[in-house]
Amino acid sequence: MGFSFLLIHLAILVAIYGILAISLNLIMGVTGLFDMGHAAFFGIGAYATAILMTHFNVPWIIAITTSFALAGLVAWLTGIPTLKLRGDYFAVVTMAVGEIARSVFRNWMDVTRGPLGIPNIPPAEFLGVTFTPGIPFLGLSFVLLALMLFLSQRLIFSPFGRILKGIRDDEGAGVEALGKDSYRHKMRVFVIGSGMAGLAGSLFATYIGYIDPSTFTLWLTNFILLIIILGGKGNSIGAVIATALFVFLREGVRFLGLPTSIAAPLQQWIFGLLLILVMLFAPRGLVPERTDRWGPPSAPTPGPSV
Amino acid sequence: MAFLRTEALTKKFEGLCAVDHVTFEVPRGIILGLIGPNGSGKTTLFNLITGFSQITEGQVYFEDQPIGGLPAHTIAELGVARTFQLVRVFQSMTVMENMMLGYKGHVGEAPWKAIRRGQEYVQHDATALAKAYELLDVVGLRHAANERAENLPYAEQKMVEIARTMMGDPGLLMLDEPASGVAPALVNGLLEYIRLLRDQRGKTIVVIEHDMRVIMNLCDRIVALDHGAKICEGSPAEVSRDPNVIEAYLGGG
Repeated sequence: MGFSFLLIHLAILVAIYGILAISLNLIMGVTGLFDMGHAAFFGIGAYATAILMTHFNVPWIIAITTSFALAGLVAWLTGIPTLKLRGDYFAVVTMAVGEIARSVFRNWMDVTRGPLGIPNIPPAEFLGVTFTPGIPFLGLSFVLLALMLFLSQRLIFSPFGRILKGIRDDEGAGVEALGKDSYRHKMRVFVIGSGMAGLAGSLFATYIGYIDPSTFTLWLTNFILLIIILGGKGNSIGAVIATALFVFLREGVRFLGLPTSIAAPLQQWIFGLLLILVMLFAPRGLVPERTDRWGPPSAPTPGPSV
Repeated sequence: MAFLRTEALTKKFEGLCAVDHVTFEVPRGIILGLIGPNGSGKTTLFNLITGFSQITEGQVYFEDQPIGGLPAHTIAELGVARTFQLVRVFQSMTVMENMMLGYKGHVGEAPWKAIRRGQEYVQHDATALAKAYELLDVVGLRHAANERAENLPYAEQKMVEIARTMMGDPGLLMLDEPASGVAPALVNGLLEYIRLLRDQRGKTIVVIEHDMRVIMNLCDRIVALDHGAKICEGSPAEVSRDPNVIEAYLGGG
């Protein structure tokens, strides 16, 4: 009973962080935008849902949609001045956005209750079903994970996705020469990816039932970044697999029965070692980015020859 | 009526005049060569025309429309395609992905249409794919369609880059040193291809080139630059006899 409950808990964390990894993969892995403030959008989604559901009794479906939209809106506002800048400036500014969001969560006492956090967030409820922690929430989170995976695959393997990869490969000049507006497409993917992060945050809030600012730190962004590098930059399936690996490893170490003073650094050691091994033996990640393939070329069409 | 026309086009970098009041015309359907020693402003001129660099003064007209100051992607969309001195084929993508990226106006460039994949999307995909294979056949690279661009020899990447610009059906093609870095044995095939684009597809082409032999047997007309200013213009024969050009190339001290 206890063990299966733990497995379900871990699987749910894989789904939530998996969505977060898929979303950062779109922004960073596919498009090459070094977004160091991704945790902020996760946090915005979590707080939006928590506040709407506890203060205003808003139905879950509206809360999670708002989380998606609000995170996307903040991304849009952040993107206006920054997405025209070169990559390194974007990294610095998004890192600042992450810190600003965190200090808002901590200090806007009237709304976020600061370090006290927001307790008693009601579980997700939709069409008469209450998604309590356990099997029901597991189902919900995996449906959403599958949906996000599907959406990101559709986006990556499309003309839109090819423009994103083109932007990554040479900072935008190449796609501009082909008549594509790089700023516009960077904005689109930044808004979509951040919105997805907001959705993951909303799920997190209704699952745990309690949020406080300590979750939404640069460490979380780094953690997701590691996952993407490990999984294979640009590959959303790899991102989910690496998320599972990380979550299970982290919790596995916890169950070795070691004292905390050893277990905590041991986790970091294992992650560090894993990353070095991947860099050495699989530089493209565990599941390297896949290229789009077209059917075997048929016979050349008769036409003008050189 | 000129297809492309510049009027006193000027670029200043803090006192240094990289392009100095350059006025020239490109009639439709010819290959025009842009020559000049290193640092004479050829690539800067390209960047000004294609919107990759801000114009200090002057104007550019494409099909009699002023295009100076428009963003690069808008100019490309209007039908001015360019390549770069160092090849800009997307390395992590396959040849076919590169080609498909060159296609203009695919509805799937909008995220929601990419997700929905309606009938229009499927049609655009099919049209783009057929066109890509046709263009790859011309350069003999159909077999490499699913190969990552980074695995191709440099000369073939250059071919892919030019073929990719053709995916967008540009009226004007601006090629920045297409033969540079290409093994001498392969240069002829490349020139053949550029000529074919003019003769069979009716393209107007502007080429920057260093190699005088290349420029002399490829171009219909030549504009020579030195220190940012136009020093001579005319047929290859005229330009090769021009004392200013000889002076600029051989260096008079």
